[in-house]
Amino acid sequence: MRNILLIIFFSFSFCSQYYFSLYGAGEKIITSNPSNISLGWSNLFSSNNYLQSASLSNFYRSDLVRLSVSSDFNFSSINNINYYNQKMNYFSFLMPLNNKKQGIGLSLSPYYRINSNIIESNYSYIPGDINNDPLAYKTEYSFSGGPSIASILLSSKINSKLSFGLKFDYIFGSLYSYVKHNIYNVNYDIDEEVLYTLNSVDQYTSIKNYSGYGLKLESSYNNLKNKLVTSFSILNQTKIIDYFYDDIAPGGLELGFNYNARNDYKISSPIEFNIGYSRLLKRGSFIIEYYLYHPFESDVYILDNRDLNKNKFNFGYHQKFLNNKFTLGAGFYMINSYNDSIESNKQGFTIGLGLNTLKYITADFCLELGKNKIEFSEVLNENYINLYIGLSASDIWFK
Amino acid sequence: MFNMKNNILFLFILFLISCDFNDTPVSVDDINQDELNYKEFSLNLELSDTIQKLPSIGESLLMYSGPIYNETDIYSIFSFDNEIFSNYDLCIDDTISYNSLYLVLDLVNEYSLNQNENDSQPPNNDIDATSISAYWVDYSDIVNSDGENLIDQDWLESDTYLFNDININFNELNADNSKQLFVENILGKYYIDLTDNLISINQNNDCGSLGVDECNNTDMCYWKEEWGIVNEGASYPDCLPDDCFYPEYGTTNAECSYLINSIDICNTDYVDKLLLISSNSEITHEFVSSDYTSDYSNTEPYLNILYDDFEELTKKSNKFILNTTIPDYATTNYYISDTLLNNYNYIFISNLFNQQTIEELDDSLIWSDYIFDTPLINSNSLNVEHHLLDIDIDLINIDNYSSSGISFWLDNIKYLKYSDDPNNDNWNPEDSTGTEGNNIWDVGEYIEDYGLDLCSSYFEDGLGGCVTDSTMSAYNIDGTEGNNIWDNGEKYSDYGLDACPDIYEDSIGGCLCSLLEDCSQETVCEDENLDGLCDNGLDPNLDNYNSDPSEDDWFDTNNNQEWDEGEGLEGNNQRDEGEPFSDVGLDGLLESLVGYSDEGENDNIYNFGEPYFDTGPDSLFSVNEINYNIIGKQNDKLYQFGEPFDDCGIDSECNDSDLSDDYNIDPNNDTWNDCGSDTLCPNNNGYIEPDEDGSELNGLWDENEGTELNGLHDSNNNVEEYFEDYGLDNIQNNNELVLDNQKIEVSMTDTIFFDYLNNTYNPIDFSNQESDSLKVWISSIEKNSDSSMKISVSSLSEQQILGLEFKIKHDVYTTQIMDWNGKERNVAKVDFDSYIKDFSIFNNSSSILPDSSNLFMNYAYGISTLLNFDGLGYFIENNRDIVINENNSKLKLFFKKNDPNFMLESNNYMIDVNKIDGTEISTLFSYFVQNNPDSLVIPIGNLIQEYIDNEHNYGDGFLISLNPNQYPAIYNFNNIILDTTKSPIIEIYYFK
Repeated sequence: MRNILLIIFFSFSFCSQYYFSLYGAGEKIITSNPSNISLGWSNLFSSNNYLQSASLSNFYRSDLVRLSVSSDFNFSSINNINYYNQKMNYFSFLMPLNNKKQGIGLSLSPYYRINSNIIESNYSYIPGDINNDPLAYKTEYSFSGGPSIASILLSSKINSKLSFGLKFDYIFGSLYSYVKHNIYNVNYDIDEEVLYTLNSVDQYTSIKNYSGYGLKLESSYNNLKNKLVTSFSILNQTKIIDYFYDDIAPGGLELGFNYNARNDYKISSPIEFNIGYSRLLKRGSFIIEYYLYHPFESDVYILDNRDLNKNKFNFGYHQKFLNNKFTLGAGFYMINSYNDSIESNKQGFTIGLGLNTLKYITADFCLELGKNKIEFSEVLNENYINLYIGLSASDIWFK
Repeated sequence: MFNMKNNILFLFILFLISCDFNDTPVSVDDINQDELNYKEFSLNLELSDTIQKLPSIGESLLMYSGPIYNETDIYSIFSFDNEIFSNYDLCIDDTISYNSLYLVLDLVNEYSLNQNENDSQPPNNDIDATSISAYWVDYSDIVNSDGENLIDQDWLESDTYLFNDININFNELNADNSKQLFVENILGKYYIDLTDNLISINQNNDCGSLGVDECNNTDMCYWKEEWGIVNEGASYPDCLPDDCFYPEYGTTNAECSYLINSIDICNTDYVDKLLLISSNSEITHEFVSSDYTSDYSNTEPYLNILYDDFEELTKKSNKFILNTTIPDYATTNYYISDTLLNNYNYIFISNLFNQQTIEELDDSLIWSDYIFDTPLINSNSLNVEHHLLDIDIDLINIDNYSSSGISFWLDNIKYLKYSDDPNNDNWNPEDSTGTEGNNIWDVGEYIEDYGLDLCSSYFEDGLGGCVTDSTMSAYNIDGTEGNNIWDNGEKYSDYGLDACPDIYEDSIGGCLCSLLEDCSQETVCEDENLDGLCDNGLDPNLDNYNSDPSEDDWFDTNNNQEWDEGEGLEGNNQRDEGEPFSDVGLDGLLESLVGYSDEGENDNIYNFGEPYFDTGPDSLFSVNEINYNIIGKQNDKLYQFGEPFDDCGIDSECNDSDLSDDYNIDPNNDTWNDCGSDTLCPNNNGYIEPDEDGSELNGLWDENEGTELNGLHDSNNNVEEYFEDYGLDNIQNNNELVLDNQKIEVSMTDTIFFDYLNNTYNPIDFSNQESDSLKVWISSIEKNSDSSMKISVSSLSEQQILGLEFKIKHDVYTTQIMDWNGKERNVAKVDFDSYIKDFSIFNNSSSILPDSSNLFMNYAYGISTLLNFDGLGYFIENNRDIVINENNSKLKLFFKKNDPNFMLESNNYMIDVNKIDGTEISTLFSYFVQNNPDSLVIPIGNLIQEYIDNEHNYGDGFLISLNPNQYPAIYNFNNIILDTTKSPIIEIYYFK
């Protein structure tokens, strides 16, 4: 009961998830697997590797055919307004090729994501003159969606200590931007208090359609107690087709209106680099990892904010119990994101539980508590609490 | 384990409900996105110009005939597309005989170019048919001065023609009778007779060889005689030389003609001709064209076709006409014989009169109009068969049934039962509860409760007597003096709902004195001018109306819509010295909002353009002024119920010795008023207290109270109020007998067939009426002659009968025959396609040029204006990513209405905004202009956004033109001129 009360308390105190990803193409999703997240958003290690499905360079180790899905539940609180979001965010299908020597797989997951609805808190003005009255305005921006990534994965053993993985990516999907310009007349009462009366509302919708290809390489070195993993990924130029719909509210798109204008853009490749080290201790494993993200360059960004550089450090520890029927993992991460105008410092604690009690079924739960301090035109503090749930099923198809 | 599961489940539920799910946007500081900008573009007069592109000749919804500008005329031209009309169903019907055919034109309006400019009223619509002429012409009649045809034989409405030389020889047309058409004006529509021009006689028949009788007896033929001059120089004996030339008229030709004919335009080989319409006067006629879709106000042109169709018809004829009736048992017979009347063959039987009476009626007998003393069947004749009457009928159309016969039956049989007291309300010694005839007035019986003067107040003379003419009566309900109601004109004290002047107001809504005339209370203030208001402004009960305490409101005393010296300053729509203003500068924005101050801001001087408050110099709007009170009723110059007034009538004279305005609704003072035995009520003069005997206002009539309308039957000596002792139903016994609801229905009889050839019939009895108290049936039929019959009717009744009615019916002769059936059709379209092609022909090469502007619009001459704005094209090209604020972005146009060639024949018109792509012009949007404005603001943001989004190419600008083709359609020759001294301007607000 005490634990329940504790969680209730936390769920009221902290909440969030990427609500202010108002840059680039949205927040770059680092990983989506709950067993990875539980080690402080690790890209390379997993707290529950029962099915050997979490690492690109190591998933060949299993002779099982594996199907994994995961979902998350996000709660955030900003300026005392609470938000909730739930989505399915990861799907993979892995298959052995050669008995514990090679494996192949397919996966599907979000690539960049943003779900944000903001409105300017202060009025902006355009002066009047003899013929025209002054006007004030505020703009409301709402974004949803973002590109996703579909991948073909290949994992292979080189020798007993070395292995590598390859991932071929296809970028697709759309980012929806709804913008509403609220125009007001500026009037004064006799005490010179300003009175704003709504003059008009202009709105438009922009749909950015992404398409591109990418490649990720990952290599792994293992000995009895140590594991060193490194990865590098790159894309070709991703094409963006931006469809502009004038005077279209979100619901209007369902009526099948044609777009008013189309613009084509390209974005350069972001570069991702990861290196991590894992040490097997007496009862469990300790991991340490570093992640570097070099942003893409483009003519078009969300709210004209350039994509962010990212540096991430994370530490984790995981341990097996009861003959690997349960695993526990915990992690801590620090993510620093920045460009010329935005800086975000995110710190969080993750704890995960893996259940392998049923044969061929693995379930992972991860709870994340964190905070994010964002500085752009003002300082915003996000508190968030997220729950991630993953489920994997496996079977032996080939012997 | 079970608890663990529950805990996990509980946790999940808590997770899901612990946060409010909310889509409210997060409020953030200005993130410097989408900045609103303003830009203004002026017209480039050098690159802007008018463009002439004639509309296709047939696209207009309107047609014209008459004089137009430049001293030229306009004519309407019609032709018929036989390819389309040949698909019309009548064209393939070979049993049609066309009688006449008209083209019908709907007149929309008339214009007179020579009318006095001060007289802008259109001419009277009520003109005769000769105001236009119609001609059936060949293409070679529509020519230019060189005799060349102006219109191709295969012209289409979508063609465009430039006419600059029209030379139609109307002298020739008028001299050729075959080309002139008869025109008739009926209820605003012109009927142009095309009978001789489009109906052709079919000669391929056998009628021609028939003689007159044979011809007239042949269905498809008719004997046609032509009337005309048979002798040009008939010689009259002794005639004067000039008179001898009188022609002699007679039948010039007679032959048997074939009735079947056809319409020429049904024939695909029809050679196209034109129908030309010109005006015979200075009036220009505006007609609806075939492109118009008929609505409640106007109808597109159509052919009115009158024809006979030889087809199978169902014909009916009666076999007899009722001639008369012969009473036997009954003394009185009424009958309806005329077969054109609804109730023909009805017979009404009674013993109304003591002598035999037979009478023909035009309508049903109303039994209640008569008083019956003698029953038709009395108590001595019950259950005995009687021969009631004989019906004489004349047989008609005997050939139709001479080989068979006629079936008769009686229907709609109803009778009135005879009774001494049908409503059972008679008084008699055995039943004293009856109210009819009991010699006393019963509540509910009719009474003239006029009191013992025996006349109602309307007829009372005021002296206790009565007059026979109500206009001579002293009764006067319209009198305003003494009616206890304030009437407009009567003096009143405008003290408000408290009926109290300020000096006696008690501060709690009441008055210190109940009688103001005799008030000894100390006054709360001074009121020297006795206007009911405190001189010091005090208003204890706060009920003084005051909408402008400072008396500074503007009232336009000379009604010139402008403020003049001496008029109030508050609300005068201009800033006056002393009125407060917002010292925000010309940009209208406070420094605190934008972080800087602009010109004129915070200089403590009012600058034109700064917002101001039209309060007048007191800096207070009336609503904020002390003592403002618009709900107060005192001194509001309106009478309120309760305010004291002098009830002296609208002449305000109480002592005028004039009875004509005295209110008097009881001149003889005998109307019951429940004032008790002392006859005084509380509002009467001299009233002291209620009557001691309790008779006052007790709801009952008491001695000395008035006898009129007291609800009682009053009598005194030999005088008593009149009443009718007919019982509570207020109907005398005789009248009770004949009430409609007393009629009892009897079943119809069986049918009896009379064999005409053999003079036989099978008798019937009353088997159909077994359960009816009265049986009525046809007891015998016999021929009087070959053309007349006698039908006997008998009866048998179980009860006394006052009278009965029935209708004698028979089997009407019905047959199918082939015959001509007259019909009429109005045909505007065939299979939804218009077969009427039309256009207006006029000199469309030279338009009506303005005096002092090069930019104008005229639909008829195809004139539109290209507007090119400085820098707009560059702006569009270099700002492809902006979003226009559509509400505030506009095009401003100014019109030169004082140009003598500015013409507008309606208050409203439509402007099309078009794009021009090479020679192609297409409409982007239309804007409806109302009330003939001096200037116009057109929202253009949407169009600019479309230019920016590359949906349209701005190019060299956009075209504006007039579009009269709307509903209701607008005059084609409007000439709208732009003012180039006040240049058109485009203002754009946009987000970047």
